[in-house]
Amino acid sequence: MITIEHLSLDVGPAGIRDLSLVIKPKTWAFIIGPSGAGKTLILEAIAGLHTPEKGRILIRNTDVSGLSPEKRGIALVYQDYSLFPHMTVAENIAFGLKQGNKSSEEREEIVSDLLNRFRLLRFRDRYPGTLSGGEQQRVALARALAVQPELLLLDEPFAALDPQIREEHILLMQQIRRERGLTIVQVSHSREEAFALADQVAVIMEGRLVQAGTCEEIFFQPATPEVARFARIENIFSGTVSWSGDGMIAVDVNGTSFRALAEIPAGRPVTLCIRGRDLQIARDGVTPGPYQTCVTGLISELTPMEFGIRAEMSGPCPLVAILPREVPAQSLQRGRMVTILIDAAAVRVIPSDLKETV
Amino acid sequence: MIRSCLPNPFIFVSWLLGGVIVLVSGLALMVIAVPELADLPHLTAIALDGRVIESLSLTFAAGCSAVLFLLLCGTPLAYALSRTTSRWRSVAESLLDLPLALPHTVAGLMVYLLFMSRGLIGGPLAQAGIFFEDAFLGIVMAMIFVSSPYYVNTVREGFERVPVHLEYVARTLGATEFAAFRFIALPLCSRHIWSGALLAWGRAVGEFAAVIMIAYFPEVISALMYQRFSTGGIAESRSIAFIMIVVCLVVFFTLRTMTRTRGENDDHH
Repeated sequence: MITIEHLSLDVGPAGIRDLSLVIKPKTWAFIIGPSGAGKTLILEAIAGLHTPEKGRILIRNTDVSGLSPEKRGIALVYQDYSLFPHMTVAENIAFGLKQGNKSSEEREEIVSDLLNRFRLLRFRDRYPGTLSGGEQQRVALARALAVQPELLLLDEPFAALDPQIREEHILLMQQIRRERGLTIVQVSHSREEAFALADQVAVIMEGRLVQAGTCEEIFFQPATPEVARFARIENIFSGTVSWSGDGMIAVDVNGTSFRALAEIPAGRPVTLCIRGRDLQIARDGVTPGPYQTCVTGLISELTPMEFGIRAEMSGPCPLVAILPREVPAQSLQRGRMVTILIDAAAVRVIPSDLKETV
Repeated sequence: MIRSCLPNPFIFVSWLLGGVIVLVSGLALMVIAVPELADLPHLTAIALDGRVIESLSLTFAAGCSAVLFLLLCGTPLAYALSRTTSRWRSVAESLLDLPLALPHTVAGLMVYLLFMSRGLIGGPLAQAGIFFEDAFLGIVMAMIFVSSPYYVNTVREGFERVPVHLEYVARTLGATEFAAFRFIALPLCSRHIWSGALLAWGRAVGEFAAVIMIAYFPEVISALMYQRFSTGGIAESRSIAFIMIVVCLVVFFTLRTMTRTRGENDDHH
């Protein structure tokens, strides 16, 4: 288990502020956040590459804050792979083994095994500069795994790969993680990767932890408007609670009243977050139920997407809906007036004091 | 095909403008080389003159000693500067660049005041029997002082080009700080180290004013040439100059050729 306690650190323009986080053993933890939030710095601090100004890092309940990187048993793979350009593929993979004073026989055995595992045998004597991005990444992963780390830190490792290779590498890493019981901490921008791999997710903004939890919690129940925006929730509105009672509230947003499940007194300012997928087009003649919000709008833009159609609606409260492709074509036309229904349970409410309510 | 044979107009104009520098250097070489090659017996006699050989040997030995010192002390300094973000870095860099901005006589005076027998460093060392005035060590010190910015700045740029992430990764793979420097930063900077050493050596062996302030004797080649110019005229000094030019050209050409492919793998990254 890795425990980060009140960590503060400044390195150049990046910084971490009073960060506390627990990463459970044998999990694949994701650190996500906008560029410049300090995500890579967290990985480097865990690896021991920077001395914390405040706070401490514990690995298996032992404070490692004073321990140098080479003694931590943590491997790090950067986004640019950081392969040693003056060493061949085999020399790159053997580097850590050489530092660990392994005999040449042991080194050869481990290197050959990893070259085989990562399909790198034919690149053995090539220099990194002559390899493709995907091949370089396999070398970087093999080099990191050669030293048998307890913890593997990955800094956006799959970001620069094309989708097919990314998928292959993710599958390979999942397999290796299962076999070795590895704990992985990965910095990522990709929501898809987080959903596919993450056991736990931490959102970092301006060097601070703003939310930690499962993917569902982060992406469906964001704790702050900033997390909601980062989670790419399509509809985020500021409004004021106009009515409250029986576990339900009505929130006024530019004259439109949204219903949501929450207990917040009237008069309080709140932020509403509604995923585009939770908006439905009402069939003609259907009347909204007591737990639904009904909004009328003009379709201003239609964009086909992989799993649906993105419809932008103008009006006093502009909405973005992600609709299934099965929606009848005649009801989806630019310039057409439509009625949208939103279930109260699908409306996430973030009060101005940022405490969770749903 | 025909178009590709024609020079790019912009490159052509650039050559025309820059060619002035090459032309002046060529002419300067010519005015020395032509009369010397026309009188080979005189040139051979000067080249075999014991004082000339002694002076050339002294100059090159002192130049190599200065470069050796810079390799040992200048390399760590260049590395430290490249990995430091503190505001003290610019203070250190300004001090280091000082010899570039100063007249060489001023640099020589500074070295003299520091290393003379009553100087801040030279005083205590004189009591221990180590002297700099009119001594080989004095020549080396003056050479180090004037050539250090050439070496340190070149090598610092080299280290700055080595991504710090490479060293970070090496550390996480079990390398100590020194091992990361030794196996990652140093080999990736080798081309700059060679280049810096060559520049510094060239600067050191060509130094006159700073050297004669602390050690007119034993005579380095520039001092001998000046002495021959004052006493024997152009013909005497021109032969020594020509020998010096030939030797330096051979050294530079050989080392540049030898180190051309050094560190080429880092360009692929």
